Amino acid sequence: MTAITLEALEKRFGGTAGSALDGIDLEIADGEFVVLLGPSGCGKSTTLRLIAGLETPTGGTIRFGKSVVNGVEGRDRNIGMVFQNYALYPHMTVTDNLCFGLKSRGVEKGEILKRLDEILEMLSLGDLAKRRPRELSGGQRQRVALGRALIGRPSVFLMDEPLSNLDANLREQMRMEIAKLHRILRITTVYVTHDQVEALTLADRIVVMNEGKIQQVSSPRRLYDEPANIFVARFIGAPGMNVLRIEKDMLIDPDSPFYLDEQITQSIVESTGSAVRLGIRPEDLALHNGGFPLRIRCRVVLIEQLGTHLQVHLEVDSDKLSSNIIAKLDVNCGVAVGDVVTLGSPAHLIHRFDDETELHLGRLANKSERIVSLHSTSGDNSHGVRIGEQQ
Amino acid sequence: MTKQLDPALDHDDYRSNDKSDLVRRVGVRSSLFNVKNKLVGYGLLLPAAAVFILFFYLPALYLFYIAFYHWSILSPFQQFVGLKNFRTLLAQPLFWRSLENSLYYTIVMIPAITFLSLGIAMLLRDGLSARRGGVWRAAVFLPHVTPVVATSIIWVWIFNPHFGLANAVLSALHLPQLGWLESTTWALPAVMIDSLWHSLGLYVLIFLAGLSRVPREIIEVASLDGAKSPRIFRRIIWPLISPTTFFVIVLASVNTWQAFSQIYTMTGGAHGGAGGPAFSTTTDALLVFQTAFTYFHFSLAAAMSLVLFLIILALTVVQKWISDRIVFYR
Amino acid sequence: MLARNRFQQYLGGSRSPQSRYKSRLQSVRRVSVGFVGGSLILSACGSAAAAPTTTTSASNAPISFQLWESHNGGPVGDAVTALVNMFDSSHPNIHVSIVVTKASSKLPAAVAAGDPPVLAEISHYDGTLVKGLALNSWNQYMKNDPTFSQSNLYPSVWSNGLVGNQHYRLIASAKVSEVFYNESMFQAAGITTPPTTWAELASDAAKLKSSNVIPLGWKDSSAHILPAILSNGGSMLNGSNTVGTSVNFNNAATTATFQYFRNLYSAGDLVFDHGSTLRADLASGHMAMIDGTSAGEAKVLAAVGGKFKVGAFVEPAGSTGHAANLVQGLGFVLPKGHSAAEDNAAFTFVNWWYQPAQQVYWSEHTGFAPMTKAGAAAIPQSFLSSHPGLQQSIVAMSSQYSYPRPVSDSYAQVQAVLDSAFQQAVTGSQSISAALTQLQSQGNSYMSGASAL
Repeated sequence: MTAITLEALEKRFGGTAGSALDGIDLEIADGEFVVLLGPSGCGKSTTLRLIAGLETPTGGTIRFGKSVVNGVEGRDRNIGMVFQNYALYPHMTVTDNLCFGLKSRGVEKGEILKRLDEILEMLSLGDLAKRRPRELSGGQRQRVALGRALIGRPSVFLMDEPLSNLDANLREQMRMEIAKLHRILRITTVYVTHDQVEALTLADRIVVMNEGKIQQVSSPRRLYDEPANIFVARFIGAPGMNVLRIEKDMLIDPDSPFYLDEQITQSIVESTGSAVRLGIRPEDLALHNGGFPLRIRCRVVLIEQLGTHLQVHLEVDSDKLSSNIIAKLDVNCGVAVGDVVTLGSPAHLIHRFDDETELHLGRLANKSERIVSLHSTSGDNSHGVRIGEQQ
Repeated sequence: MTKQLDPALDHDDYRSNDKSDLVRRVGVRSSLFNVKNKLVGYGLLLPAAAVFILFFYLPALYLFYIAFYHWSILSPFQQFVGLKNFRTLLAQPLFWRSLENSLYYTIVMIPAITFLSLGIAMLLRDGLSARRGGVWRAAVFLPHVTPVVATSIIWVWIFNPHFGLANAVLSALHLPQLGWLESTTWALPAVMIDSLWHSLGLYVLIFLAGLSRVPREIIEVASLDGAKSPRIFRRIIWPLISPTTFFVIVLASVNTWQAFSQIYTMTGGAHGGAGGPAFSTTTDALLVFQTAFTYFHFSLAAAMSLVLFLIILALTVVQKWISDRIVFYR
Repeated sequence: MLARNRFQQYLGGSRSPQSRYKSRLQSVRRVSVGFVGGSLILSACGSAAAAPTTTTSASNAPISFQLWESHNGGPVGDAVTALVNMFDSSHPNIHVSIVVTKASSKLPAAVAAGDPPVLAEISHYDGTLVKGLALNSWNQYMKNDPTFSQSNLYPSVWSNGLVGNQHYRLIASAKVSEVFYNESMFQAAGITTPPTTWAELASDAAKLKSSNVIPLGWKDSSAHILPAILSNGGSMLNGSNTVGTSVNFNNAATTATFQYFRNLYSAGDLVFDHGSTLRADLASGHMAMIDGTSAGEAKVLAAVGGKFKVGAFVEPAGSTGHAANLVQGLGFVLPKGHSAAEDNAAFTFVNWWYQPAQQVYWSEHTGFAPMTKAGAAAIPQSFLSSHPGLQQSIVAMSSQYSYPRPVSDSYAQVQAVLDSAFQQAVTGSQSISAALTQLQSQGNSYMSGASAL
């Protein structure tokens, strides 16, 4: 078992001016399950490949435990790796796929057979041992890939979007299996995905990356509650947080689609900058029937019926700015496309971001105030229960 | 359902509202459409097919006929001679010599083509960045698009036994100088070198295509699995590109058995003496040409072509048999 | 038009049964030729069907016909074109147009297809065409034309293409074997006159040898071996140089000739190569003497480019005490199937070709030997002294020991095995006697009709 430390890790690819990785610092504890999460091109796979030794860093260091492994070949880092497309050896049987690595390393025959049995047992692959990859289903292939990565008893387990090629049901099932494997084996695991559900369900810690930089490292819960910046806020959640940029002028404009209570307006006006950025999660918006310190007048553009709730796409009702909002509303709320409605949210669910740095500045009110506002909105049938659900 | 629902069906002889009839009618129409589609397809095939049939398949069949006749181009009446042409052939030392030369040429060329082009393809794939790789790929492929006859003449100069580049290189390496095209031992190898230079590009390209179908991840996973390059090549890449290799081998065997232009040009060509010195470069294909178009023994040449055809056929069957057992198709 | 005529013939048109048979025969040939052309894997012979040359000649309309010949540009091609233009402008009633093609190999196909040209220039091996009764003899035209003089032609020219008593091929471009040398090297080695015997040639070669110079470069082709064999008392066919159905190489004359070259080769005084390589080696000062033909003089002079003076001598005398040579080259043939007027016009052109003015033009512009004594006499001495190759070729042409090659396609195959035997024996990869035994049996098998070539 091994802790991994990345220090100022940098990777530039020849020719292009931009760099794929721009100074990554990250410590992964022994036995931890860390997920690298981000949109495609954010550098998460590159980070993983650097850890695997499949790419050479152009700057910075990688440590496994205390030793720097920059110059160590991937094959000598004792790594197990699983790829998105399984990367099974198509011409070999399941057994041969599993044993290829052990044979390459000259492991003695009895030991190979012992471990093979273990793995076949652990991953319920016994019946498939003689088959070739093309005779297996996607889930079976993925299990073989997992087995091949684990049979060498790696000290670091790397997975590059391992579930992307599976259908939804299978993905969920495999997610559970991976979680179970990690609980049993406690191997230091780095898992790359762009799917936040995988990240939130599997990770001890999530590393959100964008444009070659780490945006935030934290537990899944904190990531949701306290996004470090607008990017994370928008990226986490399905859909992500609504972030509105409101010019200070608009707050005193009587025609403004925004209404904020005086206390909040005051605090915003006193702050620096010409505008404020407020963030509200779609699930934290409710149809206004009085009492919310923030109210937004908007027009319904599209309604998606999702069964448990409606996902309503709205447009802020203003000539001066065009801003889109998504709200999750109760299925019985009765809105229709074209309606102009007022949405609102309690202050403790409204996040504030710096207009220039886009960093998270906190919420408009703290939790204790939340209880007050919950009470004050107890009659709102479209909201009260939902907050309890989410928090 | 009523007929008004489909105005297209609303004409005089439509007498029934019966649904099954309608279905049938639509079916008829779509099969008519299919027939028409097929006719258009065959129509488009026709010009190419006509050219092939007229100038390739029919003459090829006709060859079987004249191989059993005493066939003179100037006489309308041909005499059936049975296997006499074949007996004449088999009794001629030169025919056997030509088979020997063809065999020698093929046996050296096929492995040389296969391994050299695979090696170059591996280098181009692994060792070079995308941009410089393009330059190298072009450089390797370039000889293949040059005219054989023109570049063979350049190789004749390179192989000048007295003052040519090839011997200059050998002499710089302190190796004995060779007679090359003037030597019965080295003439065919000299032609092989030219042929290799000329044809490798094509095979390299085929191998590059084959290699590009080996997913990068498989090789990466193998290297993480502890395998070093030779083992990765032997156990992973080589089996995965076996269909490509098989294709290259079949193509190379057909091409080498039929090799003609470079041999003809390098060994004397239009000025006479092709196939020399002392028949050391007279391959079967060359002998067929000379027999037919220099000495006008068409039926003998036809018989020779037939033997050549049977050899290539047999080889291909054997290759197919082997491939069914060792080539891995995904 | 042509096709419709044939169609009418099939329908029982006005033609006689004989002509109907003939045209059907042509059709059969036409089909066969198309097939066989494609059948053989290496179809070098492209479409032989040039525009039909058939012209309906009213008595006083000008006659125009095609001449197929194979010189594709260069001094020779240019000279042929110039001469044909001269002819056309001086003969308002005849128009000759040149078709440059591989005439020798395409003519049989053209004959089979029923569309041969009126006149063609082909190589020696017209045996197939003669045997196939595809050629007219020139005899009657020569006899009927009072301006034609046989005695004006060199004997080796006159007997070229002679089968029985019929002249089927009148030589159009004659060349003989000779050796070109670097005069500066000869002077430096103290050699004042070129060798006149093979023995002298060998001793001169030894004198010319240095670390950087190969004395003698030889073409690996039999046209350059036969003169030596003949000068040592051998013959091309068994007992004769012109008529015969077997060869006689396994004898003292050929053995001595092979031995002579083998000695030179093993002493490092002689190497083999192709003509173009030899010329380059001579020009770059790496070779003292190279073997070639009179026709190659222009190319040799062009390669040397005036860097040194080039001399020439005909292949020297052997044990018989005299030199011998082969007269080879392309010749005019008259494919059957054309009107008498067209054939007459063709002969008019050939006869004109032999007249001194044309012969001088031809020889001066191409380096080929003149074919008539009057032509040779008309070349100015000043021109000859600057063109030793041409001068030497006239020496060879006028020799009684210069012969045409036998008219037989089989002989081409004999020469191919002669090349091989010579190469093997001289380079030592076979003993002389083994090479000659094999040559003798293979040569005879070809002459008797069996062939794998």
